[in-house]
This record gives sequence, structure tokens and C-alpha cells, in this order.
Amino acid sequence: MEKLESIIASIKDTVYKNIVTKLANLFTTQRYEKTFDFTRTFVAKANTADSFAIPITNEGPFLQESYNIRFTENSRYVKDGNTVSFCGVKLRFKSQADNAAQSNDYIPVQLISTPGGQSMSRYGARPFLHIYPKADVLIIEYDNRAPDVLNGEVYTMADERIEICFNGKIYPVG
Amino acid sequence: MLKSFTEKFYQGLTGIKPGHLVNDESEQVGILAAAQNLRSKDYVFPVTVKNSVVSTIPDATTTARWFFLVTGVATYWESGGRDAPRVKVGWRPFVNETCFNTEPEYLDAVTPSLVFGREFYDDPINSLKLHFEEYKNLYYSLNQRVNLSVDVIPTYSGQYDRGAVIVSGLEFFTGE
Repeated sequence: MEKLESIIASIKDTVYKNIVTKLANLFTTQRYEKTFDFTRTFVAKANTADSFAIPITNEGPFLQESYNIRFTENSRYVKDGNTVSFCGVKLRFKSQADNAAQSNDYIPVQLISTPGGQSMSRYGARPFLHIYPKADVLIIEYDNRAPDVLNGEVYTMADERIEICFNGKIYPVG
Repeated sequence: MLKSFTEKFYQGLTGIKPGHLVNDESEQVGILAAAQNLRSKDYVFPVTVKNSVVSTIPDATTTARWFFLVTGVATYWESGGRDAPRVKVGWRPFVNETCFNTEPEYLDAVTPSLVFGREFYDDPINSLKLHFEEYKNLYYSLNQRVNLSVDVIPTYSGQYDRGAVIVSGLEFFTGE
């Protein structure tokens, strides 16, 4: 029994030392890699397609691993006298450096957002990997224009507030 | 959180090791160099159906000098359940040598869909597809400059509907 306790104590000691070493290393290794989030809240104006930019830090390249559309506030339309809530905003992302869009067209938020309804928080993140060079600019294009009328319905678009977070890592370079 | 196939694939090729600290410059340089040649890409196809007539859906051509690996397919429709149109995703040319799968040429992938106002992931039928593709390693490696196409078939006479199909994946620079 005593021997077992001694072994457990030894393991605990080793684990503790490993944690301390790991934390010390973490401090050092942030010179080479550190997690970073770019977060923006913006208003997609009703009946408008526009864009805005997020400058990437001068510290080094940003490796985007995922993004999370954390919140969208409603657009709506009227059909047969009833107001229907839906997020009508479409998004497209682009790196200024390579000028290559990360999708061939605007994508409806419904297709790229994580779980959650309109005007509710959404959780989780969608894996989407892209590297932005040091001092690049991430361009977000949005489209909040009314969709084509399908069958005589009337669209009333509203300003829509969107929160988006790009998750990834900065690789500091000299 | 369960890691998606895309992440696992990407991390393996770039040398990123989850939970491992990058602690020297050469490792950092290696990751950055590999990351230049890999990136996510979405191809989206907006669709409307008016009185059973489907809007023209232009094909999309994948990026020149980049291979494309399909890792997920998903749809969004304003109608839900069995009323949602059926969708077929395909590509040409189909080159066996560049594919992990030799068949099919058409990915009879995408099934209905969601009730208007609900989110894609909320729907058990629809969410199955993307998650299935992502987590079960069902993937299709295509050649460079592939022509992606989408066919939409209304499910009942006189159908009105709106939606979009998305084909997601990773691009690989061919080095040319």
C-alpha cells in the first residue's frame, strides 16, 4: 500500500512538473505561434451590397482556422399578410493580397453559420482554412438586398446586425 | 469538439499538431510554407424554382492550377422536409487517376432541407449530410479546372422555392 502511494505521489509530482514546464514553454513559444481572433460587428444596411476590411496585424501571417457568425439580427418579409423572419444576408470573404475570393459567389448565412436561429447567439465555429500574409487585409463583402420575388410576396428588408469572429493563429515573424 | 475531416486533413499536410507548441523557427517556417499551398474554398449555387421552373444554374469552374477536394455538400431551401427540391451535384471531367473514389461521377448527395426560418443545422435530415461528409471521410478529389454543376428537380407540380447548394472543400496548389 505504501509503495502504491509512493508511486501515485511520484506521478503527481511528474505531472505537476510537466505542467510547469509546459506553461514556461508556452510563454517562450508565443514568439512563434499564438492564437488570435479577429472579431467584428457590423450592420448590413437594408437593400445594400457593400464591403468592409479587417487589417491583419503587422506581427506576422494569420492562419485562419475557422469562423463563427455569432449573431444575426433579422431581416423579414411579408407573405400572405404574415411577417416571416429570416436572415437574408449573404457573405463573401476575400484576401486583398491574392484578390481571390474564398467562394465563387455570396453565400447565404444559413449555409455557413453554426446552430442558432435569428437574433439568437450561435455557437461553435465552421472550419475554414486560409492564410493571410503579414499586413494583409481581410475583406468582407455582404449583400442584404431583397431576393427575387417568387410568387407575389412583398419583401421588407431591414438593417441587420451581424457579429462575426475569425479564429486562428498569428505566426510572428521578424 | 470533434474535429472535422477538413481540419484533420489540413493539419496533417501543414504539420500543425494540436496541443503541440511550435518552439522553433524552422517549424514555423514549415507550417507557413505548407499553408501557402492549401486553402478552403466554397462553391455556391443559388437557385429559385418558380411554378416548377428551375432558374438557370451556371456551372462553376474550379481555380486554375489548384486541385479541389470536396469535403462537404449542403443545401438550404425555404421549403422544408419532403417538399424541398432534389439536388444532384456533378463534375466534369471525371479523371480516375486524380480521384480517391472511382465512382460516381455524380454525387447524389443532397436531400431535403429545412423549414423556412429554421437553420440548416437544426434539421436532422439536412444536417446529416454535411456532418456525414465531414466526419465519415467521404470525399472526392477532383482534378484542376473541374466544371462543377448542379441539377435541381422540383418535387411537386407548381412548386415555388428558393435556396442554395454549397460544395465545400480544400484547394491544393499544383506548384505550376
